[in-house]
Amino acid sequence: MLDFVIQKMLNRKWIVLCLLVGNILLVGIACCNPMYTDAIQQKTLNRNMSNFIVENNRYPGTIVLSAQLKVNEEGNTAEQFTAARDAIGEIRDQLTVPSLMEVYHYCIPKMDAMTDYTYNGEQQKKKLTVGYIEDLSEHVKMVSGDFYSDKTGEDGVIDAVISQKGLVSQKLLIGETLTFSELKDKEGNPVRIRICGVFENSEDEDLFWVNSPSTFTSEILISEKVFNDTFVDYDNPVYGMRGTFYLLLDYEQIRGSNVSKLLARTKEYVNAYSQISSVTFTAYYQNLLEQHQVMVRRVVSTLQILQVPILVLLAAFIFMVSRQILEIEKNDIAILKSRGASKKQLVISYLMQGGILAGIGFVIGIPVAVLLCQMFGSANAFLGFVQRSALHIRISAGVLLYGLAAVILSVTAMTLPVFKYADLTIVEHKQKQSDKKKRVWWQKYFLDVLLLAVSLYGLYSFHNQRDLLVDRVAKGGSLDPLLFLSSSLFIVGASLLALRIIPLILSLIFRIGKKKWDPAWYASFLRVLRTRNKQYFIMMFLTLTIALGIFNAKSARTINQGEEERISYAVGADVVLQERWSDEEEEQEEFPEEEQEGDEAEAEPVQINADDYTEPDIDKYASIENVTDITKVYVTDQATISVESTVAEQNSEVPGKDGKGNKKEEKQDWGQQQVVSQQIRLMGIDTKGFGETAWFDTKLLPTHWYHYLNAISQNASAILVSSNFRDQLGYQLGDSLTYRTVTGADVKGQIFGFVDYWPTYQPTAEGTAEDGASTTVNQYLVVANLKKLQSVDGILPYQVWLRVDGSTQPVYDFIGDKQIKLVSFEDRQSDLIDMKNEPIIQGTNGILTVGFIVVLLLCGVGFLIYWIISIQSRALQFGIFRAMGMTMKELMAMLAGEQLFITLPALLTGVAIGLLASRLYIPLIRIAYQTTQSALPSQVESAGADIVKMFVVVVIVVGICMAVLGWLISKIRISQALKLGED
Amino acid sequence: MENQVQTIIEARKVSRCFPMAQGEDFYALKDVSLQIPEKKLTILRGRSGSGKTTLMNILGALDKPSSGQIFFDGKNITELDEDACSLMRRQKVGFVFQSVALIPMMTAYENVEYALRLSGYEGDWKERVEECLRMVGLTARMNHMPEELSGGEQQRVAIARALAHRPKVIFADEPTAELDSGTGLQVVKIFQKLVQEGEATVVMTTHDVGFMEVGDKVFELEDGEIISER
Repeated sequence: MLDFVIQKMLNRKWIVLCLLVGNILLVGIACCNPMYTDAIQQKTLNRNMSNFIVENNRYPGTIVLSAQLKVNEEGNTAEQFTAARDAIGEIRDQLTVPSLMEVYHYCIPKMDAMTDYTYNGEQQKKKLTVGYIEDLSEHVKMVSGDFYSDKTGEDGVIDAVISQKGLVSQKLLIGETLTFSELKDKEGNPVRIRICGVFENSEDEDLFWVNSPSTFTSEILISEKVFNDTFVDYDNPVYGMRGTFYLLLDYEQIRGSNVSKLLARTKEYVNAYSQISSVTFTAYYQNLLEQHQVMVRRVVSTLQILQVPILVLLAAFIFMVSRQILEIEKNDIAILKSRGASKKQLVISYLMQGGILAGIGFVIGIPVAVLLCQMFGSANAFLGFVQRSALHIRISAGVLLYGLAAVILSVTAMTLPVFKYADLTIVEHKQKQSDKKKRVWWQKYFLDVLLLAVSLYGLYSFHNQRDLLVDRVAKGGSLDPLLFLSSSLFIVGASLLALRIIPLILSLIFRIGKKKWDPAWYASFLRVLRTRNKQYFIMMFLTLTIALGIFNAKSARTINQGEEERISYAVGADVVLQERWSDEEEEQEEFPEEEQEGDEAEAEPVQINADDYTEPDIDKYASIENVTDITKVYVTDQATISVESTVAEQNSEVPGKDGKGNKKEEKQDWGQQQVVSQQIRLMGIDTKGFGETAWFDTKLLPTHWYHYLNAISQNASAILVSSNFRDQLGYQLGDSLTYRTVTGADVKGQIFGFVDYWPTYQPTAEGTAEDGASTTVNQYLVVANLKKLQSVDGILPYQVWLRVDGSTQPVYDFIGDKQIKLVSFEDRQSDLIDMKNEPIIQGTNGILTVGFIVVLLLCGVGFLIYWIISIQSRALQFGIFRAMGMTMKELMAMLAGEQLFITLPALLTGVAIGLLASRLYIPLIRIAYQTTQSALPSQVESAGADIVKMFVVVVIVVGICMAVLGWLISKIRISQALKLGED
Repeated sequence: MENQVQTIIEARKVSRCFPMAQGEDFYALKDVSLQIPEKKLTILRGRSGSGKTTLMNILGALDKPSSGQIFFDGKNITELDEDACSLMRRQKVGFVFQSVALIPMMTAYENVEYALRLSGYEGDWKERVEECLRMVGLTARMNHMPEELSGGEQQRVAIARALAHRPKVIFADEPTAELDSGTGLQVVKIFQKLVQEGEATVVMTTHDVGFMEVGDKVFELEDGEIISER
């Protein structure tokens, strides 16, 4: 039987090849999702970890167990203390990720110490922590002095080393001896410690220094042995002691495959240790990995959803081709049946054929998936690729499972139609033919209307829950798969409905000129109308293909464009930077590393004074290559306005909850009314420069935004304010508004315009309500003339906005060369690149592009196959036409007519449905990609160029098709064609 | 007697060879010469493979001879190109084939009408279609699709279609082969009637010796040559 099947396949090599292509693509597409997710997961994981080091100056693989030994408490804290240390070993063995190092640090914190040295006749009092770190000697080099010895000196003085930073900030000297009145030696005398040396880390990059030596500002380190001999008595603790144990995991070994396990274990520990008051467990990577998992889930679900229509289309393709094969072979089947072949045998023979094809498809499909994955990885835009470092792709068991599922799907699609055909005997075969007039099942049961209704209902309910969706995505959830499903249902339902309507229109046209149609077109019309059930599938296929292609193209364009605009809008200009204006700022910058845990005290509002700052020269930026425009933009969020509290209450969208930090507490009683001060964002601009430099989409405001700029440029006290001043606070155009600047000056401005959008301005922000739930908080914006503000406040630090034509690299070079110190720096281009590198965007672009290409390929191949087979099976019919005296030209005209009546309506409906679906669903789907709340309205981008591309391909395919068909037909000899019928 | 009968088709030394894969050419027809009388029923008889169908296809301008000439209605059709042959066929010739050769997506009526449409028939189509269907006795079922008709009925529609546009010659290739003898006889009777009423010339091939009697003229073929003429 196998020989028979293989022989049969070889006889039909072209169509079998097409089927094979379908199988390969099916496996390829199905497998590349898990493959890509795995690879991109690894890549982003590594990148995020490296970024973590840069941003936090901490090693992300660190686990910290901090234990307290408390005095005057029942013995168990001592047990917990030692148990915590032992736990490090257990954790190391339990976690699947190998560790690089363990660091054990013990100390007695903040003891009073008196210096021997007197200053102005008085001894100096210090607060110093005394501690030791195991194996310290291997990781330090002495800057001056000596390393401590392991023994107490003969004079009873203990040697200690101190970091450079500690020496300076504690104002100590080498050789100085300190007396600790609270620490006693065995004889009960106060312990005396001498600073014997100053250390620094021996290597620049040393994991040992989880906290760098410069953070040891108030700690002196002594020998482990001396520490234990002198201070430690676990049975009867004398001193409150802290042990901090670090386990450093090799974060490069954290793989996508072991993240969830690691995270689960880590959470177990966190939970377990949260029960023990004296021990805290912290894993630096925990947050990072949790975010990572959320990201992965989002990527997986989004890609899967985007993939489904393509897979369905592929399965449909395979089904269609299989049915076509059966259509050619149905005579053979009938003959085999009449010669005694059982239905089972027939099904098995086709199952074998399907199995062989799917098997080959699986073997070739996996490498194809690897290729597609690399394509995903370099996708930069829809149908756009860039060179990126290659993804590290693994073929995991999961991938093979997906492949296997695809194989099963494909074999099913290939074998399913056999059952229908295998039942046929010659007699039944003839009888079957007379069933043609029957309605197809989906028309009978109004499946098209049903699908459309369901999808539209879905759309309607999603629209109603729009805010909920936004909220869900903002919290890291993925978009409801039902939304994507709903869009697919819409496309399918609308296509089916169109299939119901198109023949009616065609038949109307046919009837109008029944007598006048020339023979060729008359035959085309009849063919299309009378055998419409046979045409439904190819029409459906074409319509779906085109609709999906357009939907994909527009989705991709909209997502990319939307994200680009969002970033451009949020940054404001090509480069936005702020120089460091005073030394004070520098001081603040240098020490951000001190323990930041715990509640940060609300910073006292510092009185800001222009005299504290020196304005740098900003004209220097004009000399940078590529920089075309520069402007000064003063931005502060510390300005305020006074708002009646009743109004203020309404501002917050969660009833009764005020956004944290957005409103100051100071309340004044003005008679009956309570007036609170509302923080606003105050922006001072130089209108001309701002107009030239800032990035702003002119479509965002009702008139060109230059009109707004011009309006306030004429009048020094003119201001533009955000629309919520009007909508929430009741201001009118021309009203005057008094706002308080950071220096405390009250400035009166006149409202010259309300704006919904303004560069960098977000109308609402995520805030945290008092109960901890996230809530939306209104942001108020006032745009004033910079000169006006400077005349009131003096010159305060402002941002410099640059418009850069081309690469921003020269800006970086310039800043590097001139050693300009910056407080902030934002580069639109690099933000855009980061956005394009985001796995979800990259993967979406990848899958939509690949999907689009596959769709085009299928469209072409499917079309060609359909027609070739249709023509081959109609050879006899053509013979009849020719014998009746139809010329070759007329025969071609007849076929062209069929194309016109089948392909053209299918293509046009495809376009219409694609556009309609885009319009209805893309605004909702875009929500899935909005990582932060976007102020910008989402509008569906046109993808004209892509649609043109698609049509060029379609036209080429149809052209090739016609050429092939013409050639095929010209090869048919009438006499031979007629003979075919004689058998 | 001879002078009264006009010749509608004349074949002069017609050969048809098919190149074979082995290199040896196969001659389906070897120097065949014959004359088909007008308004008569001519029968080409021979066993399967004798070349009768090839000869008929060449006479009806469906195929071209390798050598020799065909004069159809006084015109040398061997010199015509493809399109001219097609035009000639649609005007002057009607074909009936052994197997069912109706256009499947058209009703019986439309099948017949289509011949009129193709030939650009000037008269009233409806009248002519019904007339032809009446001639073959199928008016009752004219709005049925071919697949709803029996083999004999289909063949009768094919005949109606072949004669609808008033061709000079109707070629029928084994029109009775797939029909039972009763129905076959009916079909032949229709041809006889057509000839008798002066509607057309009929050329029919058959392997059945039983039909030799009904022909006004009978050519017997074997291995591509005419072995007898009556």
